[in-house]
Amino acid sequence: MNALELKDITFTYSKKTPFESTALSGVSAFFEEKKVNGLIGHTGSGKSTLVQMMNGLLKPDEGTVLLMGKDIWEEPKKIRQVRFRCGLVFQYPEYQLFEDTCEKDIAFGPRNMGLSDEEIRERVKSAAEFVGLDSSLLKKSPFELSGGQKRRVALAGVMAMEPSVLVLDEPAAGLDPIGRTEIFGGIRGYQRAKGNTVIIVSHSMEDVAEYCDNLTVLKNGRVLLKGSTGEVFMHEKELIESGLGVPQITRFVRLLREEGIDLPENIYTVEEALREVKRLLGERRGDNA
Amino acid sequence: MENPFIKLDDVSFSYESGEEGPVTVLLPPILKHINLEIAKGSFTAILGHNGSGKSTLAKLLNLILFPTEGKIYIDGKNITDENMTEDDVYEIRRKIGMVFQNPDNQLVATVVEEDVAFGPENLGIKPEEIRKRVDEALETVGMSAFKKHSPHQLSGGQKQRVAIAGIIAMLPECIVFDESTAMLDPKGRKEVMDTIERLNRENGITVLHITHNMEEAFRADRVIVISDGVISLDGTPQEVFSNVEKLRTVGLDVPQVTELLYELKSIGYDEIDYTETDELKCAKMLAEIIKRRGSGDPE
Repeated sequence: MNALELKDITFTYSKKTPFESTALSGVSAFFEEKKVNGLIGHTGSGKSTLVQMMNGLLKPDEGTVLLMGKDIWEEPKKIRQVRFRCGLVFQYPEYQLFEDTCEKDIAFGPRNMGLSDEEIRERVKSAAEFVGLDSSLLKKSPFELSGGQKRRVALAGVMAMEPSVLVLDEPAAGLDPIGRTEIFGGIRGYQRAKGNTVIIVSHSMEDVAEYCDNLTVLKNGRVLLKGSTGEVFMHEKELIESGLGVPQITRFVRLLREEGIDLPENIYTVEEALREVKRLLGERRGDNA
Repeated sequence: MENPFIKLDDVSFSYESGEEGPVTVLLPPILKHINLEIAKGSFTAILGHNGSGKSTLAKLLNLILFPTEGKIYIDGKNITDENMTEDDVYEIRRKIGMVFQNPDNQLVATVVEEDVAFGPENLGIKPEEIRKRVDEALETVGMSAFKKHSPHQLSGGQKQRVAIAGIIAMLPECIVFDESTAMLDPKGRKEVMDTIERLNRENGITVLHITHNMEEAFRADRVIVISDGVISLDGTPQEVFSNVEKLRTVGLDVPQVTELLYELKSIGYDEIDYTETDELKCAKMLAEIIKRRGSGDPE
C-alpha cells in the first residue's frame, strides 16, 4: 500500500509570465506505507516543488495527489485537514519557532487540531522524548536553546500532530555527525513506534543510505530511478550524471570488485561492507585450515 | 613557524550574555587560550562538533568578533592592537575574505557580474580595474558564461562560486570558508571544493576550510580539530584521521573507507594502513590482503 501517491503531476511556476518555468513535467511517484522513503535530486530537480504538492501547499496544474488512497483536492475547502495528516518539516525549521516556551511551540499543532488538553500534554511529552529533548528544556524559551536543540523542538512540533505521513526536508543539514545520528535516530524511533510513513529529502548520500528503505531519484523534473536503497546505489554512473553520487563505501566496494574481489554490488553502509569483507576473509581462512 | 600568515597568541573568546545591567556579563568561554599559526599559502581544514568554537575562531580572524583575551597577528601585524584604525580593519577584511554557508544570504545584486563588483566598488577602485577584476574572478571560478544571469537562476554550487568570485575580486590573501559546502548537493560540493583547491594551489591563496565533511578535510594539507574551545588534534590528514577513537570522542566521524579499514585492523589485520587517503590505493591494499589470506599463503 502506498501512503502517498502522485500521478502525472505537472507544475509550472509564474505561468503566462516571462518568468514561466516548468518545475515538474508529468511526474509519477509513490511512497510506501510504514517505510522511511528517501527522495533525492540535484538542486533544481523539483524536490521542493514535489514536497509542497504532498500536503497541498501547491496545487498541481495537472495530475492527482493521493494521500492514503484519497485525492487530497477532492474537497479543496478541506485541504487544511490534509496538513494534519501529512506533516511537513522544512529546511532549517528552527527559524520557524515563535512561542515563548518550547512546550507551547510543540503544542501549537495539536492545539489547532482541537485535541483535549490532556491529549496535547501527552503528545508534547512523547514527541519531546522521540527527538531526545530533555524535559527541563520544555519550559524554556526556544531562543535560549542551541541550534541543534531548536531543530528538535521544531521537529517535535510536527511529530506531535502524529501525521500519517511525515515529510522532512534536509532534517540534519548543518549538524555535526553526532547531531545527525541523534536526529535520524529520533525520526526512525518515531516511525517504528507509530508505524507511520516518513519521507526524507536529502543531499547526503551517506545519510539516505543509512536511514532510508527505498529511494526516489529526481532529475530535471522527472523520476530518474526508483527502488530499494541498494538497487538505486547500483546506478553510480547515472547518479553522478544527475549531480548526485553514491556513498564512499559503495564506490570503494566497486573498486574492490574491479580488483577481482567477489563482493555483492549493492553494499551501501560500512556495516554491510565490514560484514562482507569479514565473511570473505573468514571463509577463505576457513578453507585454508 | 617562520613568518606565519596568521598567528593566534593565547586567544580566548566569550560571548556576552546580553542581559541588561551595569556590568557586562560574559558567558563561559567558547575559545580557551588558543595558540595557532597558519602558514602562508597553506590549505587547512578545521573540524569540530556544533558549538565547538570553530566558526567563532573564523570570525576573529577578520575582526567580525574581537577576542576577549590574547593577540592576533595577520601577516606580522597585531590586529588586536588598540591603535588599529577603521581603515586598518577594512584592510584586514579585504585581506581575509569569508564565504558563509547559505548561498542565498550572500548575493546582493540582481546580476551576477554586478554582485562580483560589489566588493571592489566599495573599496573605491577605478571602473576599468573593476571590469578587469570581475572578469578575472568569474573566469577563476568558471562562471564567466553566467555573468549576465540573475543569481536566482543559478544552482547552489554556482551561487557559492559567484560568492567566491566576489571575494576574489578584492584580491584577498586568505579566504575562510565557513561550512560553505554544507547546503549543496554532491555536484555543487565538488564544484566548490575544486574551486577552493585551485585557488590554493594555483593562486597561492591561504585557505581555511571549516567543514563537517571528512572527505573534504582529506583534501587539505593540514587538519585542525577543535573541541570545546581547545585544539584537540592538529596534523596532516593522515595523522589526524589515524586517531579514530579520539575523533569519535569529540563527536566527529572518519571517512567511511577509513572506518572500514580501521575496524579490520582492530580485529587483527595488522598489515592494514588505514591512514592511506587514496581510495584506489586502499582498494588495491585490501584486495591484495583478501587474495593473499585466501590463497593458502603460509602465514
